[in-house]
Parts: sequence; C-alpha cells; structure tokens
Amino acid sequence: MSSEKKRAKGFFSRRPALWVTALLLLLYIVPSAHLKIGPGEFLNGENWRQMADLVYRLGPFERINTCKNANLVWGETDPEGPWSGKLDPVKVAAVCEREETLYWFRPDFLKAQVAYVGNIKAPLLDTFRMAIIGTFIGSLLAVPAALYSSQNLARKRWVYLTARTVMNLIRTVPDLVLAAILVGAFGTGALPGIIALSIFSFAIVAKLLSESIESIDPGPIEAIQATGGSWWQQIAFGVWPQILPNFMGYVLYVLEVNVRSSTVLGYVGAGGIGLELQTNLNLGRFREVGVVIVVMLVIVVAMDWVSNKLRERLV
Amino acid sequence: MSKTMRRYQAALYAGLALVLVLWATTTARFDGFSWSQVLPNILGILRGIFLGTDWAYAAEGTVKLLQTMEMAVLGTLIAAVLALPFAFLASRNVAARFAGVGRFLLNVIRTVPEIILAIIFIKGVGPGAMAGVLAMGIHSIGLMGKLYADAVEAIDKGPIEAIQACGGNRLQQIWYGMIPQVLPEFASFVLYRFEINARAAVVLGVVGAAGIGTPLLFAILSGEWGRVGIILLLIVVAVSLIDLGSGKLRKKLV
Repeated sequence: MSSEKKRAKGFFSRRPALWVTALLLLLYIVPSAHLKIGPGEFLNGENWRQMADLVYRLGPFERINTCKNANLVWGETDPEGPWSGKLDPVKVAAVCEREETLYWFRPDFLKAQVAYVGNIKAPLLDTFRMAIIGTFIGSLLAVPAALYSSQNLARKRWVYLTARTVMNLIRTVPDLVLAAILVGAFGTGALPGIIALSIFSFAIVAKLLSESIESIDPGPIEAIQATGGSWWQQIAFGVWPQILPNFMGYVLYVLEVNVRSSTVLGYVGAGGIGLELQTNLNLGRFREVGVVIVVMLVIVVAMDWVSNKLRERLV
Repeated sequence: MSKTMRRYQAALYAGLALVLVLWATTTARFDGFSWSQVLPNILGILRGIFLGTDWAYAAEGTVKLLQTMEMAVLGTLIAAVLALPFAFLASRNVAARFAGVGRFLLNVIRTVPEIILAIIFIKGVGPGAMAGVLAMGIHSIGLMGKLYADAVEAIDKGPIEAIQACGGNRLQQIWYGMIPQVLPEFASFVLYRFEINARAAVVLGVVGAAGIGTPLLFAILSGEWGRVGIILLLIVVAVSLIDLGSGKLRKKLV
C-alpha cells in the first residue's frame, strides 16, 4: 500500500507543471462552458469600444459626432461642388454612413465636475457617519460577545458553541446583501446602512477578539483567581489589559473595511455616496458618475493612508 | 518616548475618537422613521425568511448558486494567472529597481472596488456572467499580486544561485529555482482569494452580473421574503462549505 502510494505520488510530482496546467484548464473549461462565456466575448472589439466610450464619458470630455467621409458627401450631393450653397440635408444624412466619434477635453466640464463635489457633500458626510456609528456600535457589542465566545473564559460550553456558530453564520452573508434586506425593513436612508455595518463589524471584531483572548497569558487570571477575585475582576484586571492593544487594532481594521463598504452600500439604497452613484447611473448622467467614482477612490486611498499611519503608532 | 508622553498621546487619540463618534451620532438624522411602521415590517421579513421559507425554489436556486460559484472560480483563475507578471515585477529580488513600479500598480488596481469595475463592465459587455468574471478577475490581481510578491521575496536563494552557477539563464532560474518553492504558497493564496470571491460573486449578482444575486435582489424588491430566506440559506451553506474545505486544503498546503 505504502509503495503504491509512493509511486502514485511520484507519478504526480514527476511533471508538476503538466498537472497544474491540466487542473487550471479543467477549472477554466468547465465553468466557462456552463456559463457560456468564451474568449470571443472578451476579444469582441465592440465591447471594448463601448467600455472605452463609457470611460470617456465619465471624464471631463466632450463627444462630437462628425462625418468621416465629409468630402464624399459634398461631392456626391451636389454636382456643382461644395461651394454652390445647395445642400440637401436628407441626402447628406443618407450618404454620411461612416460617423466618427471624437473626444475633446473640455476645461469647463472639469469645472462643472468640481462644482458637483460640493453638491454631494451631504451624502458624503452620511457615508462617514454610517461607517463611524457602525464601527462604534459593532465593536462595543463585540466585547461581551467575545468574552462569551472564547474557550478559556466561557463558563458554559453551549454558550461558547452557539456564539461561535452565530458569528460564523453572520460573516457568510455579504454586507451588501444584508444592507439590501435591511433597506426592505427600514426603508432607504442611512439607518439600514448603519445597522448592516454594525452587525458586520460586530461579527468580525467578536471573532478576532475571541481568538486573541484564547491566546492570552493565563498567569494574571490565575493570580486574581488565587486571591479570590470574581469572574468580572478577572476580566477587568487579568484579560482586558492584555487584549486592549489587539482590540484597538481590530477596531481600526473594521473602520477601514466599513469606510470602504459604506461608499458602495448606498447602491442598494442604504444611504451615503453609493446612492448618488446609483441614481446618476440610472439617469445616464455619466459625468456625475465619474465624479462619484473619483470621490470613492479618494476616500479609499485616504483611509488606507490614515489607518496605516495609525497602525504604525499602535504597534 | 516617555511614559507620560505616551499617556498624553493615548488620551489625544481617545479624545479624537470620542469627538468623531459624538459628531456622527448627534448629527445623524433619520427622516420618516417610526417604530409603528418599521416593526411590523421587520416581523414580516423575519417570519418570511425563517418560517415561510420557499423550499420550492431550492432546485432553481442551486443552479443559480452554481453559476455564482463558477463565476468566482473563473474570476479567481483569471486573477491567479494575470497576477503572476505583476508579482514578479513587484518583488525586489526579481525586478530589482522596478519593484516600486510594480507595487504601485498593484495598489492602484486594488483601490478600484469590484462593484465599480462590474458597473463599467456591465455597460461594456452587457449584464451577465462575463462582466462579473472580468470585475473579479481584475480586482483580485491587486491583493494576489501583493501576496505573491511577498512570497517571492521570502524565498531561499540557494536553488537559484545553484542554477546560476551551472549557467542557467534568468528564465531558467525563475522556472526551476523559484516556482517550485513558491507554488504551494501561491496555491494557498488562490484558495484564500476564492473564499473572498465566492462572497463577492453574490454581491456582483446583485449589481447586475449573473448568478444568485439577481434573483435575490428581485425577491427583496418585490418583498418575497420566503424566497429571500431560501436564497440566504443556500448562500450561507455554500460559503460555509467553501470556507471549511479551502481552510482544510490550505492547512495541508503550507
């Protein structure tokens, strides 16, 4: 049995590149055949043209449709030449088949876009508000939950098991889906966003915190226990000082995650700048969509920078 | 830094955090919110999700869920391959002076949220699985390239130097000296990213790509909470299974 196993292993390890390639090919062919998407769609020039068109329309550009075969039009519609002043617009339209789209940079469009940032100040503040309140409520509730769901502190095994399972289940539901359901319950606005982010931060912080509680040094707890300290005193003086730096790190991490997701939560109606994105997209106001996307990217980059700086200080 | 200085600093940060929280909570306004309206809503939703679960939808939902997971597989696969050149460009022991450029590129890619990419691709290739796959495939390059690059930078130089000593060129050094060392770690990162993408694929469906997200959004909008219940159940089971399986595999790999 063992020699057979060894031979089998040798069989696979003799040509690792071949087996890896075969596995990757299989993982590519089966799903793409089922979903009916092939490389043809990817290589389709029309798709790329449409995407480029959209990207252009997001920016400070102006689109002009012109006739590429303009000379031909002049010549064919009027035998006397283009200077005769006689031009049949119907014929021109009929002949001008090859339209060309030109894109021009327009500084005054840029001005309009900068002005639009001022218009979305309220949803922008709403975004930050949602992230901050969600992080605050979630991490506050996570502390007692983490105490109950860590193996070395929980006094009853079933409490520990249920707490763990519930938190794991909450984390499997994507935050945007949670927000969409809460919008159904509370209506559009910042409130469903705040609740969704609270639930999500609660699950993440409680899980991470309970893991760090399980790896703490039991010495201080035993010392307090030996001198007759109650369970609460053990927590307050034996556990809390040990996990405080970890807890602060997790709160920062969750704040970062929440700021990121609060920018898009509005897409399902949960307030913030995402709502602006969705409205503008549905109305086809692409210039405004472009502004919202840029603002989102700025927020994400700024948040990354701030939390990196703060984390350096913390550790 | 002295202890008192550190105390002051801690107090400063705590004060700052407090001000932020106070600002957020005191300025938040919830227009048109009333318990008499919301409470029956919540009860109805909970009753629909937990008691009135629409079991008849389970079969069709499973097919849709399979689509979502296939999207996640394809997106992860595309990113796993596309991230390789970026990773080598971003690791200091391969790209030398140009590593900064690679890191910067990876950061730029990572910043654009998947949903934004999906919206752009939906406008381009139309709503469907392709848009979701492309969005995940491109967004995932950012994190995977970074993880790959970290793994490449942490390898043992011995085998590469041995190949160099035998007269192997740069490509041979990478292929025979580096790839066998990093392959298990790369596989582990791919699995990790697949866990993330399995969740993301659901969300992309909500935005307009194919899969379980689309019927989920329709069910929420039309208030069919029984259907929402069964879809949520399917998602929770699938994601939990994927997490479990990929966690076990990753432990074996590294």
